[in-house]
Amino acid sequence: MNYKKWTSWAFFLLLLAAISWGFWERANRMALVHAVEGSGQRDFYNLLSQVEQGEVSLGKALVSSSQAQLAALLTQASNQAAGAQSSLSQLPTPGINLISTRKFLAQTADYCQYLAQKVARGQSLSQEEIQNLSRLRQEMGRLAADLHNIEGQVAARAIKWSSFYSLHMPSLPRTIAWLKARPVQSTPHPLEGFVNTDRHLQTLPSLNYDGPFSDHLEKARPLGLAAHVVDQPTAEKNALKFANDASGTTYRITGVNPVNGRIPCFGISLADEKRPGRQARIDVSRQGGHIISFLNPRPVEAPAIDIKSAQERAIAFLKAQGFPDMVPTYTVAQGSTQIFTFAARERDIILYPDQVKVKVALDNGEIVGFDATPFFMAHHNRDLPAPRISAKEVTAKLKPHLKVEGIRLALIPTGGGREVLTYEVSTKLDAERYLIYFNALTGEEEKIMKIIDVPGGQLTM
Amino acid sequence: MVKQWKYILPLGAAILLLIGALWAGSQISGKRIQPTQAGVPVATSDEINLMARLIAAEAGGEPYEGQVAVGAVVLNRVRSPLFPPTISGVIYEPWAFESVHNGLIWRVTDLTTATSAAIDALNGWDPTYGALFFWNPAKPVSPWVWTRTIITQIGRHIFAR
Repeated sequence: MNYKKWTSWAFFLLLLAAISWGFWERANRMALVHAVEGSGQRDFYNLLSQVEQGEVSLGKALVSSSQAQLAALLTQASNQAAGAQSSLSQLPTPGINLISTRKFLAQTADYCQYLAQKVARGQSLSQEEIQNLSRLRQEMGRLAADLHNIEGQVAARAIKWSSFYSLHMPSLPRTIAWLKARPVQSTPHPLEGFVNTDRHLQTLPSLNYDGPFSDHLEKARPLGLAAHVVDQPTAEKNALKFANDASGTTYRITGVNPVNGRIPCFGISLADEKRPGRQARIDVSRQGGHIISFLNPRPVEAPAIDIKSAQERAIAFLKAQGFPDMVPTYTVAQGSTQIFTFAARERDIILYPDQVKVKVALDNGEIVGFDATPFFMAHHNRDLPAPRISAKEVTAKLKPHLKVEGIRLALIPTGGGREVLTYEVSTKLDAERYLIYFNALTGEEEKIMKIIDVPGGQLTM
Repeated sequence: MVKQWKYILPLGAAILLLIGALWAGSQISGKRIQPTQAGVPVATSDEINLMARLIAAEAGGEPYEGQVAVGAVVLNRVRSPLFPPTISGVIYEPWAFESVHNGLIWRVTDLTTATSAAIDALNGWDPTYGALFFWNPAKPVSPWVWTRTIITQIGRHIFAR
């Protein structure tokens, strides 16, 4: 009798505890729901406002007759478009990829930035560029109108940002006879407005200019590969020769996968025969059979050779692989390995786009990494013009408090993939080192890089 | 019985405080900010850790080049106009990575190979030569992603642009 009373009390208390836990969990969840809802609303309204302001700035840029105002307005438009892209990518829109809208906003921001810099240098906009700006303004206006339509739904709480994060009950099977079959959802998906906008923006013509988001960069083809196509056995032979040289061991091929990226290759997996358990990966280009990249992730012991000997090993290795005159440019330590970056040299000009990276293990000098992707993308016979400005004229342009440490000719890439012949002036301001690049044909300052010393090497920013 | 209870409470509080202090101490990172080579996005040491967590969560059992490839996809997205322009922006984009969505990224503990893979990706190695998407074909995934140009398969992941 006593026992029964105790168990029924225990069950009652347990039930009470379960129900109060349920209420507590719900209260917590509602707090989170409101927080997510708040941030979704904020990002949406930011997006709307930034697109509208971007359209207005572009419109003002098209009517302005002052170069200074034009540069400022284009910069403003660029910031607003970039902010809009950022807000858009924070909206929780699962299952839908608003890729074209994001691309449109990022390209608009980048293009306006490129034009603003052009105007700041004193150049005027071409007819085509003005037409492009006009087109971009129209599209921004259309996007703003679409967002206003969606805003109606958002304000009416038809779109609940938090709902995209909740778990849904699995749908009941239709064979349950006593439940009437429900009609297919006829109400539109709450985010359909976004989908339609995105679909329209997919149809825009391509935008080509000297900037990192230009459409012409999508079509970049490797320039440094030999013309003939190799078959798999030849590729395997090249791969084994390279890998055995690099690691000083014998490898066995365990798998070959085709890679259809920027440089079509055979992706070959290797297993070390002498040291079981060790694996490596090597990519051989289909055109020309060149080794594009090699990675050997073996654990590296404590360093036994110094950086100078490691660099000599890397240089000797590159020579043995048939690379032309390569000059070491930067180096950085990674654990017990050292990564050396090399650039090709033509006459006395350093060709920065033609880059090869070699990773040397500091315990025994083995090559454990190799990457020649930039080299094979960019290396080709160039007809480089002679500089029209002398080195003396360039150093005369520098600020007087800078100390010049060296000057040499260098070919540098621009953001849009163009190549510019420059003088690379190595300068020192107090204790900091800067590289200043002056165009060798026009004398204009093209770029400035700061050298940062880190343990084991330097990096640039 | 009562005497023992008197000691347990302050002892418990002391243990909790100690744990709290140790946890707080581990949060303070002593690493310096490390930008990477010119031409590759600048990353702080927190971002290396973040990328390593993502790689460990998304490609934990994959071959080493598969892990580097996942890191390279993140960096390719940073450099692409289709995605946010920062590493944390790409990783935390809502619904972009399953392991962020289900919390696995916070639970991974073994980060040694993932950190080397992240650093190799930051130094420019890209076994996918430009991929922007990757997925496991054995798991349910949006049908839209299959319309992208497939580049290669490494381990259990397909990479596409």
